[in-house]
Amino acid sequence: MKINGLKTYYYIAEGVVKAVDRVSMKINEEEALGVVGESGCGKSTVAHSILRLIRQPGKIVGGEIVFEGQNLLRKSESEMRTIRGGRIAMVFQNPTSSLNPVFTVGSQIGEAIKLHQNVEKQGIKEKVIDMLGKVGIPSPKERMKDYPHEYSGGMCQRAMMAMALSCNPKLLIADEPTTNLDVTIQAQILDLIRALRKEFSASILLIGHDFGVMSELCDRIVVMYSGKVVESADLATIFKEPQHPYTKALLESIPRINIEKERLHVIPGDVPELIKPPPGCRFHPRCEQAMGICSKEEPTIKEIKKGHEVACFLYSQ
Amino acid sequence: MSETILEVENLKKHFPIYGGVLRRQVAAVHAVDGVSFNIKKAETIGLVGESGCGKTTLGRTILRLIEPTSGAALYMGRDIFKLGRREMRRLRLEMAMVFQDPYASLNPRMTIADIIGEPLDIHNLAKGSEKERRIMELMERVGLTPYHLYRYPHEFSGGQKQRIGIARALAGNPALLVADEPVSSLDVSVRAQILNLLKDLQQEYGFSCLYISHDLSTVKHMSDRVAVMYLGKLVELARVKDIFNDPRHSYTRALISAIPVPGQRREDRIILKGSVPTPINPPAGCRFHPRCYEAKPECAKDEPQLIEVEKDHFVACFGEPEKEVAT
Repeated sequence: MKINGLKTYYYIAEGVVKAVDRVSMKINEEEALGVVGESGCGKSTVAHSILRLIRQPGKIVGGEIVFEGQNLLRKSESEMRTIRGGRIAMVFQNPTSSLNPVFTVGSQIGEAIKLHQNVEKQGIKEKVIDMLGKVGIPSPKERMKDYPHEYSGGMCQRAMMAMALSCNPKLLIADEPTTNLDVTIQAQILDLIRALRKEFSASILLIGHDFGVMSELCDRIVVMYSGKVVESADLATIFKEPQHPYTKALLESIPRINIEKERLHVIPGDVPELIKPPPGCRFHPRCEQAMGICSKEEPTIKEIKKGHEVACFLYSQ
Repeated sequence: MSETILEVENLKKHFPIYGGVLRRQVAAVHAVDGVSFNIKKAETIGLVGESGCGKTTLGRTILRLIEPTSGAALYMGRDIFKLGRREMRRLRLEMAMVFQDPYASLNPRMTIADIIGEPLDIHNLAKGSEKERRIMELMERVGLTPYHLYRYPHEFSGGQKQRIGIARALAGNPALLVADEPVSSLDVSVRAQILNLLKDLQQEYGFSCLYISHDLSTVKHMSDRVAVMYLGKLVELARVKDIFNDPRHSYTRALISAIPVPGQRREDRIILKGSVPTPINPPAGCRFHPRCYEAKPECAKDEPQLIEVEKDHFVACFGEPEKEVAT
């Protein structure tokens, strides 16, 4: 999967919201890529753009998304429908509301299998039981007949994973899969994703704001700010040698369980509104190392070391 | 030993559930079920637990925003739950709350000046220009500028709204501040601003704080002592360094090991099975025993009491024999 110069804009009465503005990234085979950023940085819009789930007033206005050699943005809606849930599956943030409350969990997973795979009726049922067992639902044969409200939050997320993986996707997109869950349940789900990843050998695009969760699963991290990619590198580099001032500041501003700190580093100000982002580098009004050029020109993303890309004028000489 | 400002004794709050044709009470949610602890002057107690463990109910009951089922809360020696309406009203000046959702806790039809000034009006603390001066001073203290004075909440970002909520809480110069998940709805880069602000204000005003959160990393950063709650009960209470360096209760240990640490991948994580049972019908014996990885037969029968296993370190677990405490 390769994303080149993706632009997804929302056209609202007040103007154009450039939610994703010339974003490029790639996900290698069997790799887990994490996209980190704060709310409104465009990370979820990237995920929705890949599956072409952008609704009015939003529109993908530029760029390309190449998946298995084909540009997804050129696909017809019916072709997209076979890809969604088939080759590319998605797990959403809020598991309890992503399941339909009036159908049993089993029938919803069965529906996904029926749509994408050529299996007869009895086979579907077996597959559902098998998948629910794999994601750790106890006594799947009975629990498949339950309705979503009879499941806890963690179990709903497991059921979503079962649905997503039931068609052996090549790419699994997980948008904040553990955000609404308690820490102990979060640990269970992270453990499960890790185990399933080995079994199904799918690539993962994990979207989130929690660096801790990212470290548990990802091989590479892309940091987004205000609709742009500001830095990307492998996991260890991001934490040991972050280069972009935003990545650095963000890492220093979170309280950590393993580091004693009297005071937290503060990034002044707020995340800018995307309707009128600051000119030049979008982080410059909050940046400690901002220079004259930062407010005038926009930095382009450059490779400073092998596999480590940064969009900042500090590194462009 | 510094002075105790709040002493909570065996506090219980059960929410009744009505059912049947006659709407009789058929069961109760045991949200808070016999909790005792104290808060000392200028100290921050972090209250952690998963959703549904009763931490928010506990915080609200202490301020009598919810009436307790039984138990006592002694504020400077006086039982809050026995006070009349007028006395309680006076006391609300000294006990303030910062809410989780800054979007919902500010009245959208009031200007910032009205919101922060309301406690001053209600308690007749200041009028006219004196009131204005107080409001400006509070705004400045929490990092807002005077030109924000006549704006409405929707014009502010989440972080600024939380600053307004804090200014309002500080208007009465409280001795105790209950902060219920004050940063969980904020952006990561804004959280640090609010956490630092709360710490600075505490130094300046010297209030005590009950910091309620599910996020152990912020609790560790903010607190002097930490209370861990599970299904309506405290399972462990100790100084912050003891909780994190030497956790005794198996639930506390699991909770700490479950935190994802940035830049680290842990393989030795303790993963608890299942999820938190319902507080309507909590398990017999130790409430944690069905999920406990060290449970013994007696855990299902008797309920462990919160005992002091080392100085200022309280644990409710049969795995911890009571030790001689040096006094």
